[in-house]
Amino acid sequence: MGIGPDGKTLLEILEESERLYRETGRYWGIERLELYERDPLRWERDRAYLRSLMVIARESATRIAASPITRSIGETCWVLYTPEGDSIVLSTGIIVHVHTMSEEIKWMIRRGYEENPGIKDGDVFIGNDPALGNVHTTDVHTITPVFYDGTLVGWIGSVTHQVDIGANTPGHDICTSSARFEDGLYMECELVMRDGKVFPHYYERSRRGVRTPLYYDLDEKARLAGNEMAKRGLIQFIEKNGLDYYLKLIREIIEKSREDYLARTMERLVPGRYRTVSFSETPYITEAWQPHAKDDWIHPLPMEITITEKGEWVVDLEGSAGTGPWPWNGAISPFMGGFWVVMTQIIGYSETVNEGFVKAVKLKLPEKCWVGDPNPYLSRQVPWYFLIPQMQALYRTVAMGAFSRGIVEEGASGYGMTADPVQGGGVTNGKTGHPPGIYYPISTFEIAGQGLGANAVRDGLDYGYAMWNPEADIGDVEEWERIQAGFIYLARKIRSNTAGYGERRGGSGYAHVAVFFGSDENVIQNLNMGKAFTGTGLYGGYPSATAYTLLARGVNFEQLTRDKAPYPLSDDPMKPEFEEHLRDYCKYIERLDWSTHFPRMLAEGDIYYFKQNGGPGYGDPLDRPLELCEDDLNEGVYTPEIMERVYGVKASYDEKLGVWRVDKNESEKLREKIKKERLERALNFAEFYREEREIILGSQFTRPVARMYQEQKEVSPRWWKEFTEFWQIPEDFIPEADELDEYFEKVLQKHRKLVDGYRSFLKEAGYDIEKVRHVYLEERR
Amino acid sequence: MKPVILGIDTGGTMSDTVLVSEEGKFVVGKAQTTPYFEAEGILNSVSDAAKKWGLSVEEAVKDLRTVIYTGTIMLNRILERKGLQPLGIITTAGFEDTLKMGRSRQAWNVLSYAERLHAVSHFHPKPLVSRNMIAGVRERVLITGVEMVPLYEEEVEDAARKLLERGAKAIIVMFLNSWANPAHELKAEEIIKNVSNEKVPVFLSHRIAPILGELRRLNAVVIQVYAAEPSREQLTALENEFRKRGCGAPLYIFTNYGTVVPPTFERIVHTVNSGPAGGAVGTKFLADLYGFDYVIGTDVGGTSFDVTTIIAGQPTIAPFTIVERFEAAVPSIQIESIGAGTGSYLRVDPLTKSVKIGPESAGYRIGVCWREGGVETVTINDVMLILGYLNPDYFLGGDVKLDKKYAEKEFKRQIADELNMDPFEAAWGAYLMVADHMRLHLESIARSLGFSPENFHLVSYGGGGASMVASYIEGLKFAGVMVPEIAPAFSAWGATLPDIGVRAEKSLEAYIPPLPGVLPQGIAESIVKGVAELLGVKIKSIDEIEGIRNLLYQNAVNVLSNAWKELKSYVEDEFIRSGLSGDITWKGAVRMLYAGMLDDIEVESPSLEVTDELVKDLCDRFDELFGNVYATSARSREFGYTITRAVLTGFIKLPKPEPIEEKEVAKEPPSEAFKGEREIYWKGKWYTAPTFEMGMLRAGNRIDGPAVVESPASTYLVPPGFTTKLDSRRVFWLEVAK
Repeated sequence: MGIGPDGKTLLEILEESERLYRETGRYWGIERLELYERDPLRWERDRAYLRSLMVIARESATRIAASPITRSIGETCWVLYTPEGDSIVLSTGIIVHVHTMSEEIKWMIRRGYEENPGIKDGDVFIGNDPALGNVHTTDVHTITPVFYDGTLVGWIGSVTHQVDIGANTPGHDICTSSARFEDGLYMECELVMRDGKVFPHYYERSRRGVRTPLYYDLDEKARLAGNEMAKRGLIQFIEKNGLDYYLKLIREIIEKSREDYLARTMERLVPGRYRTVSFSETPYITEAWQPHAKDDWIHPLPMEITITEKGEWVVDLEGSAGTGPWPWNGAISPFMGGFWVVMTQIIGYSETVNEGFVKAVKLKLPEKCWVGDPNPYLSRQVPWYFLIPQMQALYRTVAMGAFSRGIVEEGASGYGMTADPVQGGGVTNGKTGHPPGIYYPISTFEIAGQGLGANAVRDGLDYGYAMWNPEADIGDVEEWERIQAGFIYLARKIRSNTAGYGERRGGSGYAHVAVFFGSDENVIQNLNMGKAFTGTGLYGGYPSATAYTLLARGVNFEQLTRDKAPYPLSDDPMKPEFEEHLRDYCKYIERLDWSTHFPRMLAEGDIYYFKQNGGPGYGDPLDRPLELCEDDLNEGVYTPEIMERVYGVKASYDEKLGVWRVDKNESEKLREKIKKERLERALNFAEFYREEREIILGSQFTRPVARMYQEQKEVSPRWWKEFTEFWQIPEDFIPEADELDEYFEKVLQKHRKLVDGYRSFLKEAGYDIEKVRHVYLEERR
Repeated sequence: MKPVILGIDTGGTMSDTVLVSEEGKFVVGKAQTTPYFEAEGILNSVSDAAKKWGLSVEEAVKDLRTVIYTGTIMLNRILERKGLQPLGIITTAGFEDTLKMGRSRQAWNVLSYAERLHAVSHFHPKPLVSRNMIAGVRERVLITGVEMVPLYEEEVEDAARKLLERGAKAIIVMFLNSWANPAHELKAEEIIKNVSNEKVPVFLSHRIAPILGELRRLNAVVIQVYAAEPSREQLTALENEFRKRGCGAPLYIFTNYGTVVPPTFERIVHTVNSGPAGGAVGTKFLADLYGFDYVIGTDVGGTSFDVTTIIAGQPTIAPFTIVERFEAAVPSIQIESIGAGTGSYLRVDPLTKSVKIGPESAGYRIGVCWREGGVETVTINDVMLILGYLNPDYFLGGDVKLDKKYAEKEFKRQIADELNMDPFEAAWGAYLMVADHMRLHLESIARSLGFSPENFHLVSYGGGGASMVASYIEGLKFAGVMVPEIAPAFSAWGATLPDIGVRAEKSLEAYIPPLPGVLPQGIAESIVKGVAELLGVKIKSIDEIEGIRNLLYQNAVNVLSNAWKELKSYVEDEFIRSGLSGDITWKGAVRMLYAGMLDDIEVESPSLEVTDELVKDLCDRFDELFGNVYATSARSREFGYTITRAVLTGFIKLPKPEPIEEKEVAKEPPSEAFKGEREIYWKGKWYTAPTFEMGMLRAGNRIDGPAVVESPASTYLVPPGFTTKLDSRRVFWLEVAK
């Protein structure tokens, strides 16, 4: 006798559901939506009611939550599941989790939880393992079974994102973990509450296991309270409408979503094959402290989407990166999380997104790719680092597919990389007026506001988009400083030239300069782009700018401000404020051409620059209307140098009024000239093909690129076959890579060259460079 | 008839006025708005109202005691981008883009849920001040008020010069954390005044909104200077026009939070969005009259369903206001709206066949049933006409004729056929869908405040309130459901009832350790130890902290006491400056949270005498409120508390009209009130319902459903299974029949 409806075990129900879907291609084999056909309006009202239970739970509960991430940024979600774990309706918030907790519930069912530890009314389970059903470990799930009259009738799941999960360095998306054992707290769908009482061993383990127990505690209270509210509402609904009606209704809701999703796809997209590629990188050769993690990698993240005539999506990850000693390893669940959060925004925004959507997608996964590898010992702290670049394929597919149908407003060229440009923490020393000795986290969620990509009819939204939560909110600086007590912003403003160039430009990013003040033992790490573009522009548009590291150490900030000397408010390497303003006040400046770096200890007075990214552009920048170019200049989106070089725009500045004016005639002439130069530089395809082929055959790659091809050959034989056929090279060809030591030396030399080159450039530009010391990588050895 | 109060509501197209007599009777006047000289339209409107009592304008205004102004003029200036410009802003260097970036939220904060998800439809509002008019100067104050970077005074001088040269008509200064320490803003003001020879007004953010959160503080000042300041002159001109006609009454402006202030009020931005507050004041007036502490006001308009609440006798106030997408640190009555009103469009998605309500609406154009309105999509009004609730020949007293046949035809074509349903069943289903939407909204508001509907009396008003109330309250057990006869003009009427009141707020960071008997944990433990370290006290165990605890209580007492003192003298100064006298009633409150949390709750204070005991009492009250609003199990008393904001409102009573009081007579309605019969559809059946003329009913009359009670401006539906009684104050009480 099982605990599910009709005395069945949950496993029996799950297996039956899967069998019926396999056999019929419809959820639970439902041929007709009987309840819907009988009274479509009552049906819709009931669906709306169930959804409102989740929304109300979230609205009320998140006010209890402590972490700014949960509260201000809305990093929370409540979801209702069927007895066998399929999502039915979900609240507003971080809609990533439409499918994640579903995987966990099913995992518990398959793992035999019904027998041991048993599933009872009043139980609560907690999970955060992406391999079992999550996106990354900092999203903590609370899952409550709902019983009616002794029968398990469903589950309420909720999630909140933690500021810190006790990994080897502080932060919520840490970059330093190379294996599971460094990820911090893991909870494998752990039974943590029975009969309404939290187990003390879990309580102590979780609070002692994170750096911010206060946030953990309040966020957990929020999840528990919300689940209870939703559970009460659900029981009332069943009491009023009867259990049979409820169980039939929820299956129809899921099946209808599946049908709606297919219909929407057919309406919006042209069937066919859509291909996109993006990249991510792990620049750890000089960063990692773990010996096995000291190398540089570049990770290919292609996606091929086939839209069938029936509106199904076949998603193929052939050619994708593999797994390794970095925190970006994934699993099905993170992948689906990233997939659905984007799909909800581009196809499903007016629909009921649930398991029915999931059923309309077929996934083709190479077993050894970053999504397919089931190895439990991999670090899965930040699968986002791959998910975010890769999911741009969805925006681009819709931009191309909908455009082909004449729907020009939909989709975009992609979006800015929302990584995590600053995380860490420190201890107050009393100078700020806060009591000394208090740990403060650096955990801003200003990453919620990157630039969105452009499309045929609009520029990308500036500083207002994160792929994982379209309700972007970068918060107030004053609010962040309530928490980040010892990390004080000197600036937060639009960062020129971050918007991807195009006829329609990408959304602009912004940048911060911050100083450590009134704090000791400060640790800071960064997760962002580096040399690799995480996306491309569309139809001639450019990708957005990449990111780099910039910090100044040994800054005598107090002396500087006593002298009322200027301090840097941003960075433009062409006119660098750090070098200009800090030359008399700092020991040295560190500039790296990558941004993802391991923790640095920084001292009082040290100044740190970090950036939120722009979005990619659409169309040829030379076609951008001149009046929009003038706006860009006046709003600081681009510097005049970039306007001239990329957009072919000549403009002059009216100092008195503080406005730029574009010279129409001169600009048009310049544009013609640039077009001519382009033609002169152009190669015919045969030449291009030959040149590129030589590069491949001669393995003229850097070590990371050579190793990327080696990995693709191993992870995705099908992809490799197509690649070798296209370039007409032998299938057993193996690109040669530099040895690690050799490559390491090259990296150091390259950095020296970069620094020296930059110093000469500054000197020539008239900067007094003698007093500025730049640190070379080899000095950090 | 002797009018004693004049209420003015100036919209973009029409200027409405309400004259209220000593006995509480009123008439409404209408005239076109005259933007070039507002007073003209207003006087035309007064003339229209006065005519109804057979009075001239002069006769109507000579005995007035109060003139109350509300309107959308300020809002329109923002919508049309026609405010005072160019303005200059001097702000902390490095934060020049704060206004433009708008925290990202401003790109989506007023969109429907579906569109909030749909990111390619997000756009930032165009800022009111362009980037060349914003100058940064180096300085930096921390959240604790500690100065990290001194004010670079030369940079202020340069900035001021530059902005003046660029034509700034006013200069705004907003520095980070100026609410905690305004020294730099004050110094900057001095410098700017020097540079400009005091020719250009200077506005300081901490004066207008001493509230944490730089975007909303800056928006508050910008909106004040851009849109609200230009109104002062207009209001003076208006007052003069009234003087010329023999009116001796002072002119007041209605605030966003339901009080009035004189036009000289410094924080005039508090009046920028006062339109929706009328209903809340009306609701509060009824609450006071009946002695109810907990009341929900529901306003069913053409486009939206707006809900306000009275908790413990006071309207709930929102900590910030959205003004044309700009989020501003300006208090307002909390209005929770959904896009479902009687004019909301109903559509069937051609692909998924799901029915969508709104958010667009036909507004005043009713629905397809009013052929002259040119509406093509069916609306809730069409549905109510099809179901027999609305009288096609008596809409707006018969001024507007509705075509029921056409509505039926269009509804069948657009909705019922698409869903394969019987048209009447489909109309009924659509009506219920809207009602459900409203009911869930109500329930979620009650629950999110920590109460169940039983704790509340509900007032239904707005043009559509009476025709929908029975369906949106069904199943929720309110303590009582009231439909005032005045419902269609309730908001305008409410706007004539306020007292003078200034609400002053100030952000704080006052930590209160856990109450005696609760052992400090987590953050509380760290803070207590940190404070001990500051004082050089050695603590071996956390039990030895009583001394520190008392010290922290004392600190909170001092901080709160100083804040209230500061707010009190601010309000008193405002009253003195405006030449107002009279007894001031004070209401103090704080916003609090558990240390470490981010969402604060407003807690009414029983006293303004700040002592240890009061601070602990506030914590107790907070615990209770928090337990109600969220869950008792989510309380976190072991972390201690933070007071984040001190709030103080000073009131001076204004004379009010006498409330209507009729003698209750027989239960049976008088025969002259009976108008006829009409078929109405309810829960799958047709009923023959008697219809009554509302104005003819007498206090004490009871009507059992099914019945329809009509007035020129509204239709009150009493469905089968319901009964209603008209009380001595001409308020209908809707009940489920026993």
